[in-house]
Amino acid sequence: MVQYKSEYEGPWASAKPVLFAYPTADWRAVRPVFNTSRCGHCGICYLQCPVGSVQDRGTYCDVDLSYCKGCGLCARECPNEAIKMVREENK
Amino acid sequence: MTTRITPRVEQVRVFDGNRACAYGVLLCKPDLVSCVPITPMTPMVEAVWQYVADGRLDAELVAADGEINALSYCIGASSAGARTFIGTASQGLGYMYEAYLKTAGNRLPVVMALATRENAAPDGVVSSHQDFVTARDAGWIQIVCEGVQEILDTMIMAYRLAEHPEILLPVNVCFDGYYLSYLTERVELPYQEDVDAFLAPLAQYDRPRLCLEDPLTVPTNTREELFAEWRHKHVVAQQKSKKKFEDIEEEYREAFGRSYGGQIEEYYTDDAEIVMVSMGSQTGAIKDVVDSRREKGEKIGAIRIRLFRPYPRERLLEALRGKKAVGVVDRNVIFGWQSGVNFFEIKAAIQDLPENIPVTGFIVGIGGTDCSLEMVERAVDITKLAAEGKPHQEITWLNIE
Amino acid sequence: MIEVRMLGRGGQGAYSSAEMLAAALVKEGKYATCFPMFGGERRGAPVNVFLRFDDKPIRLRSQIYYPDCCIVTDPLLARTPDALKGLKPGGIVVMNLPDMPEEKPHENTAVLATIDATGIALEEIGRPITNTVLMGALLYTTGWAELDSILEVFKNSFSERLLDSNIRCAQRGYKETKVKRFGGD
Repeated sequence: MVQYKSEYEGPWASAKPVLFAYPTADWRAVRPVFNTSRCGHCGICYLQCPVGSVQDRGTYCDVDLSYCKGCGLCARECPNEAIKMVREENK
Repeated sequence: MTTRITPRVEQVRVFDGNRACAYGVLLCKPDLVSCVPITPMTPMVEAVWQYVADGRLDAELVAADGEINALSYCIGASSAGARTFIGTASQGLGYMYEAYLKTAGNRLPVVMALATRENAAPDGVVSSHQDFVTARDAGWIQIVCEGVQEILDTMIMAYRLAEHPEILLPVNVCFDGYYLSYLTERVELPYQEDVDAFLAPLAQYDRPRLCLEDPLTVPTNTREELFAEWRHKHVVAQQKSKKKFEDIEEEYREAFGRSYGGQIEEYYTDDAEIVMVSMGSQTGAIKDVVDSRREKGEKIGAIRIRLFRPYPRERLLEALRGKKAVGVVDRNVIFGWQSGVNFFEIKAAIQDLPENIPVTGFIVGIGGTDCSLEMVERAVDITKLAAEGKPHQEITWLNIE
Repeated sequence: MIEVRMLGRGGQGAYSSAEMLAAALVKEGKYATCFPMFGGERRGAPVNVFLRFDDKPIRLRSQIYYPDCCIVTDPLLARTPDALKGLKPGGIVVMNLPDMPEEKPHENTAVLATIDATGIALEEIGRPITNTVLMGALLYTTGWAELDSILEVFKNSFSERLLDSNIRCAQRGYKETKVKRFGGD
């Protein structure tokens, strides 16, 4: 007997809850380290981050690592060289 | 007319299904290539375009803005006598459906590669046989491949079949998306001169084409008796293509050393009591299970349906005569019966046998899922129940129950 | 027939390396097949690559559920619960890890090979594309093909710019792999 898993007749699904959160933090091989003392708060890193991990803290920017995939765009674009990519630690 | 070629191999390479198909296109030298990329055949399009860019293939390249336009270019070119090639999958086939009907109705020998994929909706860029099964009654010849070498070989045979004056029908060369299109295998590449020689007999034939010297019109706007006449000729040609396909394959075997059994491939069916029938790459798993069951003394065999349209009715009738049960493994569904297409067609085909052979149906691979050895083992066990006259489920969806 | 399953990430060349290994095996006169199965078709998404090789033609084209050998191309993927699922008794595991772990990663592990493929790749190529290092590691651990066979295949697969660095990656993978055997099997 076929057991159904969805309540819907057709391929509908509710968009309200988070259906599937992909833990993209695991994808990193390198991680950005933000040197706040060099930050000029220009916001370029915040604008460039493709996944929205860079946070604007009001007077400086830093990163929320829960989704950061280590692409390195922030480090490359920072005009003050305030961001360095370092090898991800293996636990 | 036999071509005097002896089997020889130019190189042994590793190709995936897409590249083998593209190489087949290269060898057949079409005049016009018209493709819109679509997963899972995009690398095939890219390979063909690269051949043209590198000067290895002298073909007119059309980067159409949509599959219906892509196939329409082929219709135009083929009507003018050109050899054409196009490739697509699921939604692309859906988008070109109007042109797809016209190609067959106008009796144009276009060859189309299909890297088979689920039709949306539900949306899923995944493998199954649903696309060409849905389009099965548009009048195209449909051949379904099991392995990558077969894709390359079938591309060459497809042109030989399509362009024959007794046939003049478009041909789909179908191979599983992902499970063949992205699967890399050892492939033996034939010599270009040998393929040229194999296709050379087609040059002696003239087919109707648009030209200034002898103005013809196609299609003509028709009704009643003339319409029926052309439909009749079409269905007759479809049926003729069965024997023609086997003749061409026999010639191919003599010339290149490889063949796949013709309309159907029979695997240990002679003394089998139970036969499992399928098409496409999952037949490999079925053959492996046949081998392991035979080691245990069970009399089991397998049939792979290679020519899907037209349907190999007569060959199946012969092959299934006297069997105790038939298990049909479908990688598709039809909406007429609650089954896959081959279950339905085999039930119809074996009606003419004196025995009342029970047929069990299995749905596998829907939504890109695998057809594993364990699933095949379950299918064989259920078919055995049918052979023994015991109660069993008629249709089983192997990946969700 | 030997069945190998690689767990990698899209865009890291796991499938390319399996293709190259298949080409090397075919060069040596064997039959080999390989294909990928993606979770989602994008960079970074986990991908399983299924490789089979044998002395006779292979017609099984299903996914691999009981591998003889598992390759894990990324240290964080090694912690995925299903990374080594179904490994056969006497199984060989090749992992991209900086240090050799004390314990077997799977109860059926008979041979465990580790190499800091990310480190070597960053040094030689400048990016963490670990596939060629792991090819060297696999061939050292198993001897299933000659290293030279796969280096020959590299010549057709890599541009001039990338060829030498990838050859060095494979050679270092071959030389620097640590192998531990777990007795009793």
